[in-house]
Amino acid sequence: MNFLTNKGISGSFLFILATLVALFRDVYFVNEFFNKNTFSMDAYFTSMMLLALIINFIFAPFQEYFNYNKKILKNINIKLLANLYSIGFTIFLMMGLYLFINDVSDDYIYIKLANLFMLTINFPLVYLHSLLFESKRMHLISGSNLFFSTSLLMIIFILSTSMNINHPILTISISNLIIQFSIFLFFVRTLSKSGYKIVNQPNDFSLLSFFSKKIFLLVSFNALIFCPFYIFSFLNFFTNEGNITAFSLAIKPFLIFQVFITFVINGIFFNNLFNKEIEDYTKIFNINFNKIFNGVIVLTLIILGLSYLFIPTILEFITVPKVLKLLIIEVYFLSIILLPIIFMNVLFLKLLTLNFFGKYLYYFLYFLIILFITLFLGLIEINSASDYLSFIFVMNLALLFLLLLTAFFHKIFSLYSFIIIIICIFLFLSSILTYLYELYFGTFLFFFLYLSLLITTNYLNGEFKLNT
Amino acid sequence: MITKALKSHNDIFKKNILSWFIIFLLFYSYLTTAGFIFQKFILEFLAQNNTHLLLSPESTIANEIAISLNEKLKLDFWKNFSLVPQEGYGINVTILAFFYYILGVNPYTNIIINSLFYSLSALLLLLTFLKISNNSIYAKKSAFICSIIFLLWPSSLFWLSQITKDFMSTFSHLLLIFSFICLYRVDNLKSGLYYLLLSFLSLIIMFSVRDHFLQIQFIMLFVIIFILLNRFLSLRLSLKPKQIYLTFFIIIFTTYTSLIISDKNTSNIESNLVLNNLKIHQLKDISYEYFPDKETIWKKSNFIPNFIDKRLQAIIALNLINNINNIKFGASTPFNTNLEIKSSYDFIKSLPVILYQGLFEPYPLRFDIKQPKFLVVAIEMLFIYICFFLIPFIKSKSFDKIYIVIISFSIFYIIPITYTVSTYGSLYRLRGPFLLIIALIILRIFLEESSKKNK
Repeated sequence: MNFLTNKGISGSFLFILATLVALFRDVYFVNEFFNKNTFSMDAYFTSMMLLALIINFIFAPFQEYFNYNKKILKNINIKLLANLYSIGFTIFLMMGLYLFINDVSDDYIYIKLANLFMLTINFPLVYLHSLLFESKRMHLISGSNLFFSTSLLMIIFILSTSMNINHPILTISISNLIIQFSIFLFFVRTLSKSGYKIVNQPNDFSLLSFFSKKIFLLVSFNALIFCPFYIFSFLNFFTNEGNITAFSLAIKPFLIFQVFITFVINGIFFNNLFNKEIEDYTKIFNINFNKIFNGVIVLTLIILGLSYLFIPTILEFITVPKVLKLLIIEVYFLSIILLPIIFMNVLFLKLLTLNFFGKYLYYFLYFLIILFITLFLGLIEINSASDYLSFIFVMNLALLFLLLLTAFFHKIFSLYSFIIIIICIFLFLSSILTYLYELYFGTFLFFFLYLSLLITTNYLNGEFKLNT
Repeated sequence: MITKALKSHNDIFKKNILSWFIIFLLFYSYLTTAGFIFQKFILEFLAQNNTHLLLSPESTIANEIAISLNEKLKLDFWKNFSLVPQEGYGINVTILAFFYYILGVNPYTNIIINSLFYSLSALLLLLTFLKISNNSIYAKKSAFICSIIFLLWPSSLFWLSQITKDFMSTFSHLLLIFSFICLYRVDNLKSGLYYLLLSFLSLIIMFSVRDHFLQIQFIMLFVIIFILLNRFLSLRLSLKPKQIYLTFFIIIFTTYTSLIISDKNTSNIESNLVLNNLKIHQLKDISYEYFPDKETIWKKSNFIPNFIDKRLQAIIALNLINNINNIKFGASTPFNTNLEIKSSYDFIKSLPVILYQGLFEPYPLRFDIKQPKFLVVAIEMLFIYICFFLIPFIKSKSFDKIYIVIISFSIFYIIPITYTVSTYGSLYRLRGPFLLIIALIILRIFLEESSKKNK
């Protein structure tokens, strides 16, 4: 019930609305400009995906750090903002240099640069988001997302109907930048109005304290879970023009889910559950875990079912070749079935970093990252986008079981609930995969088993118990 | 740590149908998930070429037979329904055809059927181990670990989507062992009858899949009956008339059926040529028909009874045909190409080598382990070597005689398989579960013993 009593409920409703609008915006955008400006569309989406990388890979640990250190959140610290700006700007410079070296002859480099420059504006937003969490104004974050999507939608509409500009996508990129900056100003203004003082004090924030064990773990974990999507070399898969556009359209639910985890679930659920000063989190976790876990699975199934109803009709309106439409469907499907697994991974990590932090996990993740990087340097040959997603899927699944085992050995679960959780994961995956292979009898069978398991183990009481 | 967890949550191993169902569900859901994930996500990285990803060439033919049977069933169900769809193919193809008939043709149905039998086998292994030992936590722990290893055995994932008889025959073997142990421990007639029915069920399953293995199972049954009688006599139990009738009934029934089956199988070999008139059904279907230039002459032995001699001749004939086909189709991993057996005497002389090969081949470094499938095989064989290596560390006291019976039966399967096969691949596939059972028994005894010591 924590979820409902919190003010954030309006925020999450707004968020869902914003994501729907964002989806519609992208489809509309592709539909309007795909044939005329395929190359520039690709450039636009590449840079947007790089942006998503930055959000997930670098923003999340900062977010965690700010949520954890309440001292920083009393005032708006200008020096801290400046620090964040400088970090963001450094990243922008490095990535811009990388792009410049690789694509000097590219006419569309300005689109990429404009989109990347959004980073500099975006980076201090993490700090402001934490402040908004603290003052329980989550609806502002979702509202700003909604505002961003709708205003872009308006711009696309105006550009495609009434105006004749030579570089429409460049215009959109620049307007991205402007809107983000205005959102930043709006946040600062609202926060200062609601009692937060703007101060210029020397901050406690230093890089050494930032890269503590916990933050390092979060960074490496983000690298493991999210990074594969955006590693630069993966863009080489898409030799045909338009493939990047199709890929980034199809991976949208995944991106939305990531942002959802980072900003909304983090704020509403984890803050409630974990920021209380309780010695033993196990009990709360055991009771809430089953509900969350099954809730996420059911949510995923609903998304999947709904999208299978609507995706073909949406695809009919898009002027994309048939090959790309098939790519969209496959990648879309895979990115959706990744959601609950990644959600579980994030949840476990949060729990383990709170009070069950084992040294060996730290070393093991470090080892995994090295392994992962070597794999990507060419040991595994990956030829297509779906192969790529398959690799990520298997890796994330392995990570999930590793974390489950760690949680079990730290006595977060009893053996019995551990087994039940594993069975739930297996049955969910089986039903999804049989659906993928059009073996509907199997889907029905596994879903039936899943439901019967939940009923027989007293799932509804919150804890798994054998009903004997 | 697992021990502690098991100690505090002992209820999962209670004699409770729901808890057994949950363990079965764990095994079954793991296998289906692993099978589908292997097909969807892993196989494309492992496969050398993209042909035959789902079904191997042999399974493709079996699949076609299932599809044709499905079409026949659509015309007239009761007229065309038969347990064995075609000579050389077992009931597993019929089950598949039945699924096709109800749900439509989809080869992935196989994964669901195969994983059902394999998970049941793992469950039976767990039950068997639990049945043999006492009720201590160490016994439960070691049994659970061993059944999990049996379940997680990686090479079984390779075959999960194929139309093979292995899963059903393994299940039948384990079911017979389980019912045998239950019969050995039985204390009232009602449950005795129940387990007797189970053992006959296992015989029926084996008959409908691999009827030639049934001869081995009948020998097993004879041993079981002998042990049972021995037990009754040694304990000087006052036998009730019902029990005496029951044992007599078993003896008469098993002798009678074994005689019938042995007649059916050996009637084809009459002349003293090894390959004369021998029907090899499976090979015929793939149009592998081949007539060798010179046929090996089989020398009859004076000391060995005729019916045994004929069986040995049949085994060697199979080996010869497999070898000829290997040469014709260029098998990549030929096995025992130089084996020349022309009489029962040769057969017995080569027995130690064959036993050795059956237990230890293929060596981990025999093939290029840079290929993922050979790497998997190497790791698995290493695990089995480690298990064999544990034998000297086990006290002879803790080797229950039931374990010895199970191990000797498994070896009983391994020997004829090793004689007949002609490639390492088929050796590994056919012999795999039996060797694994032996290794797991050794591991289990070792684990139980060592955890008791630590106590």
